[in-house]
Amino acid sequence: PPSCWLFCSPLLPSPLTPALSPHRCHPPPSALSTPPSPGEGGEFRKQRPRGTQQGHHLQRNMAGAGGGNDIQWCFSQVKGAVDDDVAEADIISTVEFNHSGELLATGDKGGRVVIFQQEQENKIQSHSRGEYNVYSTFQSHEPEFDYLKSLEIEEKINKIRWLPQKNAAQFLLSTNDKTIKLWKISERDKRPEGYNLKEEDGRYRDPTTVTTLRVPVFRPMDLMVEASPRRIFANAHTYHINSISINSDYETYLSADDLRINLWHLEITDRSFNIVDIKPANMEELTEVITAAEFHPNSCNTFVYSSSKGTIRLCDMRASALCDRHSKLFEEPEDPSNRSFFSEIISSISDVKFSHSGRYMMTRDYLSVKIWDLNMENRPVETYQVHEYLRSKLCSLYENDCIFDKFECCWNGSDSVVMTGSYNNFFRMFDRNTKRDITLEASRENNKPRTVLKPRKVCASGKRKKDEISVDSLDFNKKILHTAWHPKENIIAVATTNNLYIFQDKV
Amino acid sequence: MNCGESARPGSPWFGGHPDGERAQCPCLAPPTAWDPQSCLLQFLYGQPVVWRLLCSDPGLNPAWPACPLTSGGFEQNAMTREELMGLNSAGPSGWLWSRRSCVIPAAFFTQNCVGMMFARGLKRKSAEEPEDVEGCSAGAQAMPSYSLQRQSLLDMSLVKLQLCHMLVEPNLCRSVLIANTVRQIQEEMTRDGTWRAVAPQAAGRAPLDRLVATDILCRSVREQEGECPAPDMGDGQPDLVPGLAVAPAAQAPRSPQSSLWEGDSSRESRGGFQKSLDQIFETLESKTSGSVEELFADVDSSYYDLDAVLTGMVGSTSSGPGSGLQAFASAATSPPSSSCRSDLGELDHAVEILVET
Repeated sequence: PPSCWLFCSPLLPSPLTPALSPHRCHPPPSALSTPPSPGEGGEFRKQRPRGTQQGHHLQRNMAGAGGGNDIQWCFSQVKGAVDDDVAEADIISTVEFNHSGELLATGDKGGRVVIFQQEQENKIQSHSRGEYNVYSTFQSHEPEFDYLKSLEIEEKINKIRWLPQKNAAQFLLSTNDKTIKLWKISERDKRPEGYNLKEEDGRYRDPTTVTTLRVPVFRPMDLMVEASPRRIFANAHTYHINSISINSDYETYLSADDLRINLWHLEITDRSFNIVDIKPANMEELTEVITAAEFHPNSCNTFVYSSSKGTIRLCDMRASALCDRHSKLFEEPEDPSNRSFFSEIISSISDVKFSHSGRYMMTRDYLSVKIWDLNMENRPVETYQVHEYLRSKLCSLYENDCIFDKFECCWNGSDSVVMTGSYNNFFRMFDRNTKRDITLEASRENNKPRTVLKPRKVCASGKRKKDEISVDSLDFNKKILHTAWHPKENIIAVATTNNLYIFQDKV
Repeated sequence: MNCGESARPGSPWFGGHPDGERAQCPCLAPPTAWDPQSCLLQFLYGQPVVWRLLCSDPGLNPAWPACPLTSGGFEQNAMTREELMGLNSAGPSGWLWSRRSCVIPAAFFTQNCVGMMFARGLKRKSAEEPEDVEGCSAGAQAMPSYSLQRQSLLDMSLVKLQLCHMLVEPNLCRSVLIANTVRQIQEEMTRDGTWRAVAPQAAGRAPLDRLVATDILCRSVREQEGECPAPDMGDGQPDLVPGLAVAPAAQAPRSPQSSLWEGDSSRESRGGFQKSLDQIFETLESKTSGSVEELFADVDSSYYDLDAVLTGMVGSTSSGPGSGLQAFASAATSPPSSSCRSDLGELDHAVEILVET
């Protein structure tokens, strides 16, 4: 890359960008903010009736939904550029629903955050749920240059986490490799008019023309969504931040990098507490790094962190200030029959997520998803193979670096189904109750709304049946690393390299 | 115009773009065309790489005039034409391929790391011998032996560790996982007795900022005889040194060698390899200020200064990661061992030059 791009400058807008409604800050638009094509339904608009902050969707019956296989998943929307030539800045790096599911945030490699909002359900078309349209987009992080190390700090958004809503505004934390920011997203639909001393455009009136007194009044205006950074939590991480997690007390949060975990208070930016430090005294002895961390959803003193050696440690902050000694260590003994030089690499955990109930946690390693009961440390209670057919290809995947891909995983709202991504734009769902699983593909070929997705199958070896795909024809450049499930409904957001797909169950 | 003039650093001699431009070095007979086979692999372990064609070593092909660039710091070792077989068929065997502007002996391609990808990525003439294809891309060829596979994996891992682009801080998790894999292989090879343990380098060598493991690994045992251990091996454990010089035969006494790896004694007792791994992590932790100049250097000219690379001149201007190895390139002109593992000697040279600053 040319050296000139090290000096941060605003990114160029994508040619596909429409004229956006007025924003407080005008960020270079991300391709995700393009208006939907006619096929996707709904015109690009940002208005939304006031006073319908939450709960204006019918609660779908989650308990009855059998899960991954009984649900019929339909294409709903796709966001992003159509062309195959992917701009590096448009690569989606994180996807997250907020606590009500009304808002869906994405972060990309260019440091931008795009927030989609679900429309209020259309009473006339009761057979479709509200669509997600762009609500706000802003530049969260800029590229920086670390002069001491002569290294660039990428602006890529590694994680976004929403705070639960406490007032009219929405808050989220977004982080790149080094800095975490708290963003406030607020709406403005009124503005004061009729100033005594100022013209409408802000210029001061000539004092001699002021002969009467008038008091400004608020008048309605077009809805404007503003994003402003409220806190910047910087300079606390030497290594690259891989996780942030908000505590259930909603006052503190943790941030984890490769070797350390810090605890922050949302109000305090100049200090953080280091609660885990696995950096060895001699860096030469480094053999293990932290790969993910999360607070327990209910216990505000409990958190877990996973490692590159496939272990998960649960720590209790009440035990000591520095939680280097775990309360529990979750590790599955290695299967000696499957041992290879790649065993350690594929056991490295790329994501850890607590269930909503807090009773279980899920880990994702390269080939599988494991569900752990917090009360049992020596093995997971459930293991699901995501793409076992890759086991014989590990050498090639090591060669092309795919073996280091960090897949994420997510639970559905009732903790009955888990979902994770794979290659070839496939993603997989596992129903914990029925033990059935399904493989689906995120592609524009099925992009008629309410088209039911056809299950896909990969043929591991031998005769390839019709409609099956052989392992050798999988596209390893098309990987789904980030997925998210609506907290209450059967709506999922699946990110391919630069597109965001939204699927719903068939109503 | 003789070759020397055109071959100055930054000259268009480094051209030869795969999509049609011709190499402009007059000593290179103009290729008739760039066909897909004359442009090698696009990816080397996940990193995109553009390969260019350089002049061949004149010793191999008398029809080609001498080119000082190739005869510079790059020792002409006893490569025969037969040893170069396996190179793609577009050019005469003996052509050298360069990653950007580093010279790599063609034999390197018959080795594990690149040969693997090579076999997979390109169409090869059926006449070519597949026997030098190694590693996991065996495909239609015979399955390579376990030790060859293991060696391939080791080489590939070491190259991966070196190839991280240092503009952005490399991914620590990935580096740790690769380093652990290398350690595993090393341990296993030590247990098997096939490990060519290496002596830490002689005191007079230039300090190594970057991974040197491959270089150390590839030295033959014979070269290490008589070399003294590194200076920081203060309590000097002389009993280990003879252990290091033990012949690679399987009957090598295990204990001194294994103690090299498993002993709890000083860090140095774990051998030069561990030291190099350490250096990786130190490099990952902090970059020297000299690298700032590298970042601002024009990428396509003096930054990849082939002359400097070959003559080890880069070290003076930048103390960046690669400079130690450049110093090596000039210093390490020892002839390859004529042992049965001659590929290690060639790999030695190859990887020294392969590593970019």
